[in-house]
Amino acid sequence: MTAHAEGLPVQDVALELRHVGKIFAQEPDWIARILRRLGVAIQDYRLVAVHDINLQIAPGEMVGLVGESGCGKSTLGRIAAGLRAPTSGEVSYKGVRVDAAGTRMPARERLKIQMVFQDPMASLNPRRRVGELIAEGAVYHGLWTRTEAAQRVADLLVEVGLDPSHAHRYPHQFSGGQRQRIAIAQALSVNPDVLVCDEPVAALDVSIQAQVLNLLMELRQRRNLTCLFISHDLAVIRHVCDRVAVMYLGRIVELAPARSIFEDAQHPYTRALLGEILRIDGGRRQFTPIQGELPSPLNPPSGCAFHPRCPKASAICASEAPPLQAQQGGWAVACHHPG
Amino acid sequence: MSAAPGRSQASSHRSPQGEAPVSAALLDVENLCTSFFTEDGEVRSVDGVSLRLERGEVLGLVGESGSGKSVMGLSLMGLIDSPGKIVAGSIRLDGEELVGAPEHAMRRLRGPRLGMIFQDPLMSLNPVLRIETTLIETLLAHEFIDSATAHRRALAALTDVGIPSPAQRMRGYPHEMSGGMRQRVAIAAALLPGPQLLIADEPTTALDVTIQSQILHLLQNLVAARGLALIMISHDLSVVASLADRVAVMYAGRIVESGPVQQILSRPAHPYTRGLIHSAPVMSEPGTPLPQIRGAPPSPLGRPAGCAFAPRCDRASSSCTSMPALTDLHIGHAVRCWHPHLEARLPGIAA
Repeated sequence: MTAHAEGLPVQDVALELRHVGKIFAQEPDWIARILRRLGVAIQDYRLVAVHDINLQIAPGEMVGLVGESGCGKSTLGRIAAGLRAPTSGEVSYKGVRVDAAGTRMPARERLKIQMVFQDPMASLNPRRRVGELIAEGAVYHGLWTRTEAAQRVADLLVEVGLDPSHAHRYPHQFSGGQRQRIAIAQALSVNPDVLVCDEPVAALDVSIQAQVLNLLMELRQRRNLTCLFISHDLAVIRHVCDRVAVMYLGRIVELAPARSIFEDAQHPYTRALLGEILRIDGGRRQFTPIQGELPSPLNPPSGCAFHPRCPKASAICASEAPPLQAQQGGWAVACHHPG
Repeated sequence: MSAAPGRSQASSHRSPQGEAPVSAALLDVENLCTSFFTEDGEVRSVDGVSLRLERGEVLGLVGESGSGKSVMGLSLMGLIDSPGKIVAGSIRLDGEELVGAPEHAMRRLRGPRLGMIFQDPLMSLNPVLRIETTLIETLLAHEFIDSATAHRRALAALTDVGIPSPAQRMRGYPHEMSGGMRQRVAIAAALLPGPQLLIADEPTTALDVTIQSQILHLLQNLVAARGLALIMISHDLSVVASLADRVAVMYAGRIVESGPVQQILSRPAHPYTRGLIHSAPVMSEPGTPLPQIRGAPPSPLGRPAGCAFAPRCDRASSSCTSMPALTDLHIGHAVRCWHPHLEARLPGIAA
C-alpha cells in the first residue's frame, strides 16, 4: 500500500514520482577488481539515497519536503527536476515521462520543470551580466528572440522585485537576497509550470528570508506554479506549503496537510522535529532533545530506520520496515506505532 | 556611556587597597570599537559597544551577518589580527583590562578564564591530531600536571559533554565524528581549563535541528552546573531566546536594543527587533504574507549617517539622521531609537 494508492485522476496530477529510487554505488577500482578476480571478498559500497518514493503533486500545489541533512531530500529534488537520473522508478509531468533516465525526453516538457538552488552565488555565473544570465536559457531554447530579450528581462526583473536597470550589473554587485531573486527570475525565464526550490532561503539573513518567502508565495499565486519546496525548516514549510512530506534516511515517513501537521503529527520522528521548532516568543525553555544522530546511509539500521532513536520502538520495528500507509484526510504515515 | 543596561543599579567600587577601581561584574565592556583597515577604507565592525555580564549569566547577542557580533566575540578573546584593531574602549574581565594587554597575558587568560567555541568545530580541532592529543595539550598548556592526570581529566570532560564510549573516541580523529560530536569535543576542549566565561559563536548553525537541540541542551546544563557565564552569539533570535537571560540586538556595529529576554520578546521597542520577531514564519498564519523588513543591511563601508536602520524603517523621520543614544526605557531595558515602540507587541498566532 502506498499513499494515494487509489490515485488522483490523471488530469489532477502535475508532477508524479513513481517508485523513485536512487542508489549511489562506488565503482570498484583496479585494485578491488584484481583482488576480486583473485577470489577476495571485497565489500561494495552502496548508498541508498532515495528508496521507493511515490508522490503526486496537483497543479498549483506546493508540497514541502523536510528532513535533516543526508535524508535524501536534495537528491529527490534533483531527480524531480530532471537533473539526476533515478536508479529505479520514473518521474512524469502531466503523464509525460521527464526524468533523466527516460529515453530522449522532449525538451519542451523538461523546460516546464525548473529549479532554484540554495546558494545563488554558486548557481549564477559570476562573469556574466544579470541580463545575459536571465535571457540565456530562453533564447537558447527559442522561446525569446534576441531582440525581445532585453524587454523580457526587464519585465522579469520587475516581477521579482528588482530594478530593471540592474540587468547590466554582475551578480557580485547584489546582496544575497537580491541574488536569490535573480536566480528565481532565471528559473522563470523559460516559463515553467513546476518549480523545485532546494533550501531557497537557508543561506539568507533572517530579515531577508521573509522577503524571498513572500516573493515565492506571490509568484506561485500569480503564475499558478506547482512547487516542490525542500527545506530543513518545518516552520518555513508549514508557512508556505499545502502538504508536507517528512523524509528520514531516504524514505518518506509521513505525508500530511501542512496546516494540521503541527497539531496531529503521527510519526514519532515528525513529532520530534516539531518539538525542536524554537518558538521566538517562548523565552527560556528546557530542552528535551531526541537522542542519537542520523545513522549512516551506508549502513542503515534494520527495519524502520528511525527505531534506534524512537521512544516508541518495539521488536517489530527492528525487523520490519513499515510501509507508507494512506490514512484518511490525505494523510499517510510509515510507522508501526503511529499517533 | 549610558549604554550598559543594569549599569544604574550595579556600582563600581574601589578595592580595599584603594587602587584601581574593581568592577563587580565578571565582564565589563565599555565603548568598544573594533575596526578593520581595508583597501577600501576603515570598516567599523564594532562601533561603540558597551555591555556587562554577571557571573553565571547568559547573554544572547543577536544580529545579521555583518552586524559585528562575531567581531565582538573575537575582540573579547583578543583574537583580532591585522588589518583589524581595537581602536577604542575597554574590556575588563574581573577588573583586569584586556584591551592593550600583551599577547603573553592574553595567552594566560584564554583557556583558564575565557573560552570560545565556533560555528564549525573542524576549524577549532586539528584534523591530524587524535582527540586525546588536542584535549591533553590544552590542559598541559595551562597547568603543571602529569600526563596521566591530564588524560583522566580529558576522559572525564568527554563524558561530561555526552560522548558515547569516550575511551574509544579519545583515540579517534575529528573526521571520524559527526558534526554534533565534533561540536561536543570543541565544547569539552573549551571547558577543560575551567573558564568563567564561554563565548559561543553560532555553535548550532551548521547542525541539523535535532542535533541543534541536543547541543543547546548540553550548553544549558553545563552553564547551570558550573555557574558559567555565557555569551551566545547567533543570527537566530529563537535560539538565543531559548537560552539567554538577557538579549542584546546588534545592527551595523552597534547595540540597538538590550534587555531581559522576556521583555525584549513581549515588548520589543526597536523597530528592527520588532521586525525580526514578526518576520519569523512561526509567528504568522500559514499562507499569509510575512511582515517583512524592506531593503537590506547597509554595507559596512557606506553606513548612513545617524541611525543605520533608518532607510529600512517605517517610523523614520528627519530626527533619525542623527545618532540616537542607547537609553533606558525601563530598568535594564535599553533602546537606541528616536521613535521606540512603547506598546506591547501584538501576539503572533503561535503565542
